[in-house]
Amino acid sequence: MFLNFLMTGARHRALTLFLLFALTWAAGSGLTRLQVDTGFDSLVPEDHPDRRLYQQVIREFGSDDRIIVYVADDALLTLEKLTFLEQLHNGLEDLSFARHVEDIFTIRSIRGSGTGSGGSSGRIDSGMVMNGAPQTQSELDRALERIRNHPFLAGNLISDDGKSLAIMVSAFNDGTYTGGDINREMEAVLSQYRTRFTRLFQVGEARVNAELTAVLFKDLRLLAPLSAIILVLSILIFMRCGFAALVPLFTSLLSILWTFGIMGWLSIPLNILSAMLPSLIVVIGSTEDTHMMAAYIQGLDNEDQSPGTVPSKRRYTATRSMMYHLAVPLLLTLVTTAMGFAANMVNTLGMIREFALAATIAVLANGFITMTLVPLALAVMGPVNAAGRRAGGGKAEDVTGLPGLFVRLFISTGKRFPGAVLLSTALLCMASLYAGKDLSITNDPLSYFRKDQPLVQDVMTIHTHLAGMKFFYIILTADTETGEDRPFLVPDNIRKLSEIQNFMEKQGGFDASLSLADQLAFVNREFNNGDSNAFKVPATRELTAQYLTFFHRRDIKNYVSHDMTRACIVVRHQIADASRLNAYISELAAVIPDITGSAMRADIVGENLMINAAAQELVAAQAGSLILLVGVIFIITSVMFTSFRGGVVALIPCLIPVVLMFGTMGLLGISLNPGTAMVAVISIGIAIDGTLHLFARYNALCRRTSDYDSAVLETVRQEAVPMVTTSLALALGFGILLFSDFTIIAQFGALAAVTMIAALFANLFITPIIMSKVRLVGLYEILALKMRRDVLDKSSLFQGMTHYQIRKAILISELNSFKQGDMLIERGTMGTSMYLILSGRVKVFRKVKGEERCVAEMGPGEIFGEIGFVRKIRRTADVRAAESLEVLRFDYNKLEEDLKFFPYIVSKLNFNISRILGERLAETNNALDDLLDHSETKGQLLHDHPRE
Amino acid sequence: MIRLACILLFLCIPSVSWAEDTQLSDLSGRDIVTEAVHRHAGFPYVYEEQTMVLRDDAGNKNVRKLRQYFRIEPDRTVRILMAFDYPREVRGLSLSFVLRPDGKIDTRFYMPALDRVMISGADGDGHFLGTDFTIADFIEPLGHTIYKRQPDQTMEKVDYFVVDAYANHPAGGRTSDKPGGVHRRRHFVRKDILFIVRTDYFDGAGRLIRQFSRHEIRKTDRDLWLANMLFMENLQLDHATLIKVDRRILSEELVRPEVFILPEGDSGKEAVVQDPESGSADHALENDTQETNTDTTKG
Repeated sequence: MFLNFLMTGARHRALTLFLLFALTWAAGSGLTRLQVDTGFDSLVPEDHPDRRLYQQVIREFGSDDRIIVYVADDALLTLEKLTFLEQLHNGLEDLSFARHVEDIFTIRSIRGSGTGSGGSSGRIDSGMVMNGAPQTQSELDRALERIRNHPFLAGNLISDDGKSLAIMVSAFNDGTYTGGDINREMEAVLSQYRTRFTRLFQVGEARVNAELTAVLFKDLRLLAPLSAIILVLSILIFMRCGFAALVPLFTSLLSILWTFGIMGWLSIPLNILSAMLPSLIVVIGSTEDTHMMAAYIQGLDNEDQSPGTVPSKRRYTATRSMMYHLAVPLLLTLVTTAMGFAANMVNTLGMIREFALAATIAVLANGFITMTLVPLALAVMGPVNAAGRRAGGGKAEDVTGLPGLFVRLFISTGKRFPGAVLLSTALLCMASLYAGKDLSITNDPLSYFRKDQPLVQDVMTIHTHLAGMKFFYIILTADTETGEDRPFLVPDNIRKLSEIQNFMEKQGGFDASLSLADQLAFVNREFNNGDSNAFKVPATRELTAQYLTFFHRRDIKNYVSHDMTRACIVVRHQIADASRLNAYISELAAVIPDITGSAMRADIVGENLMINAAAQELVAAQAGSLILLVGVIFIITSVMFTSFRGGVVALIPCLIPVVLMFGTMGLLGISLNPGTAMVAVISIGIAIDGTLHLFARYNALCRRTSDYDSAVLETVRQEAVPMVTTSLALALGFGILLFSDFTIIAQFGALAAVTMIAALFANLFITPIIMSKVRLVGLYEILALKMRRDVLDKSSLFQGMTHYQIRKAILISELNSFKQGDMLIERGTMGTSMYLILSGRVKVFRKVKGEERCVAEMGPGEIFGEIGFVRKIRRTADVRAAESLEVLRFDYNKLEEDLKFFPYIVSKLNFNISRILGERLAETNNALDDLLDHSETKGQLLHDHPRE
Repeated sequence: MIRLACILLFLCIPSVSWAEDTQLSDLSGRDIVTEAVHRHAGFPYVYEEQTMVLRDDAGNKNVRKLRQYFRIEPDRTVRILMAFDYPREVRGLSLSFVLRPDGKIDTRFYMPALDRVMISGADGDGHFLGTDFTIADFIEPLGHTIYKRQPDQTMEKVDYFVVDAYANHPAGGRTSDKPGGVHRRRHFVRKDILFIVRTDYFDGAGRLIRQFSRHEIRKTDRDLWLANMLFMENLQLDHATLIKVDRRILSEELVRPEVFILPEGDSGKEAVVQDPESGSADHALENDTQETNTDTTKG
């Protein structure tokens, strides 16, 4: 029934075409709804505990989403340049999303002179550092003096050499603007002044968003065609069939259309990881197409090629043969690959979750399209002259080229020194685990870009001359119920801010920090004639309050709440390594309570911290995804092979590449990031496909030979071509991602490519070694086995066994076919096998008085050769096929080996064989009694019991 | 301060004749502003108790209570003293303005926590005590301003003269005539009472940056129109300051010259000026005082 379903495309072509067309139209209409999301929101887990607090904090103390406009010029602080700078400032202020523009024109300067102690009158100037661009040299001189005097400008807003400065634009975005809109409007203003300064650029979330979007589309335009080219070339090289190259190309295109359309309908936005979706679809989708084409060509080989056979019939037969052989592997690989992507849906990062969902949809859509369209295409226009190309499943002697090299390598190493290979692999895995134990983790959006990108360079320029572009806040909330009214007027409380800042300075990781304590210390110094010793928090609550009257609320809004119950330390940094930043923050969080005491609560919040904390969760999320996927694959393969041992064995070759991948990351210093965090699970999902194909082939071969070693070798030989082809295509396809301008996608591609190659080695070297040690029977084989129930039911060999057990017993036996006249048992030879006739008849011949005589004839359900099975003995008669014959051969040595794999079935068989032998012994005794009673029938006795 | 808003205008008033039969349409911008200043620059001795409310961009409000003393000397020197009473931490903080006939302004403040008088330098932006007002907002420098009458407007059924005021600086001077980058002011003068009820401040790029409006305008017994509420909205910062007069007394006794003397570092931490509820204030009220009701009248 399943096969019939899979043949729907070939059988009901018009209906299938209509269905595909309708579904394509339905999915494609969702394309207009497709959104692009490169915002930072998807980098923070939705359930992050600090999200709500963060929203409260930015409402109260201002947003940490600040755009830094960097202006540099050798003559920056001159009348001419400052005039342009003021115009630029005004232009930025006019932007509708600009909530606040902070620079030398808006930073308050308090300047005291003659303000020493003693009660004499002094002079205080309170105003902006520059109250507009100076018009005269004296105005400029005074402004420069204010800049020099201001303790928080140098290194923060103005470089030490005065040749560069920053304008901070706090953006207010209620969703009206996209990052692209903001970036565009910023650039429009900046472009008017670019010629006025040596350097002028802006960085901030908006630019990062805009460039992420730009690179996303650039990648989409570049990577998908490149992948398609690689796909076509590799298929042409390995399969030498143009049609074989066109089929996956077409299914991939359709799958991409469906995927993006469905994403539109389901409101799954395109994010930067989605940029690799088309490539993934092309690459992963093509593997199944390749297997199908190989099986189709094999089908052409196997069927009747007489000149009179019409091409359409040949196509249909080959297509049916293809689906018959590939139905289960196709379904399984589809499920496991989809699961590989779906496992990432447990990730807390919206970006990864959205990508995982989109990729799962892509894989399933591609699977559906492949299973319906490919049979249709092959049945209608499949090549009929492709026989003999043997892209896969060729005979051993045909394996040449690169696949042949793998086969020879396996023969010379894995087959000859299996222990050494296993030991080497184990050592390599241990070394990889060691190398990968200290992986750095990052989720910094800037790290998504290549280091040579202008954006990254610009950020580093700002970091070099000023301070980092990342902000976070430390919020101290005083307990107003038990403490004083307006607690941050109390000097002791304000000093706690200073203490925290001092600790951060000792940590050495952060660029700058500012707080209310700094502002008050500044004023205090100026009211004391600029005495640096007075740069400290005012001594009394009253003095603090009176100093604060010199500030406009805007000046201190970022540092203290209006009711003076909460204070905020604004911290700037440029730390990209999540582990390092988290370590600093953890250390800080541990120390702050010691400084503040129990009467204050401290919160450390910032969007980049939440993003960073989410990076740490990548590890847990990856572990969760891996456990989930490995668990599910273990269950599936255990069921598939009807044995937990099968589940474990199938997983080993999949886990080896993942371990090696972590080692590679450790050695090359590649961070765990949203891209690389997905490689492991996706790789397992793909690598298991090769393992399943190997096991399926091995099982099939084992049913026809009792020599497991040769079955293993034959498996490697037969699977080498498709596995090398698909693995190389996958590796090349993933390798294409190296061309991405996103570092995380390039790293994902490189690692996935390496992992695919490692999986190929594992499957062609390790899997065969493990395989030779086990004997597995597939559930589908058991269920799909066609057996003559009437024959088996009446066979005493299977007495007391359920149909399932009978099927399994049949599958661990050896199925042999003979033509009429073939010799099954030859008199005088040694044998340890017994036979159960499934169909056809055999004749038993003995020499009676020197003459060859047929002494018996047996049919379906009967067994023969059972004495040889229990005791090594010379055969006493010849047994020949009287007609086309199908028998199950049970070899003693093989069953003895299988006892450890299938103890219950084999013991049951042995029990039945014992009973059969007992019955035969009883019959012999009866016959002997008859012989004694009727000595004249002695010769007849021999005739009745010719078997050994 | 509210008194200030009207009376400081008096400083620069040239003699102007406003004939009853003057055709309104014939008036120039200067005529209108000059007459508005002239009409409402009245009684020279005023004591006010005020509530100042500062509102930030998040809608949070901070409240201050203060007393204001106003006096015009015979030589036309104007003295203003603002003394804060609330919050308690700033009690005694005093701000003194002396506007001399030559137009110069001397600003000082007394910091009780330091027991020190400080001079406010000319390099500041003029905003005082965290408000959105500058002292310059209360001065109409008629002699240094170019007025251009604009088309009259009617808003909410009230007719207004509209006059734009530009600083008349020497050539090569700043385009802005005031700290904060103000390039142009636009006065809205009520036609019926010749009272400036609103002033918009524009920067050099023509952007409206602040808006100063006067509310609860009422007529006193002395035929003056006074506003009991002043509201300055800083549109650039989304910040606003409201000053409301809780009590007003027109009395020379309450604003005697010694009230305006700030201590020079040896007077202790108490408020500089006497509370009007003291004996001297009572005396003033008996002799020559007029207490205005600030709660009921609207302009």
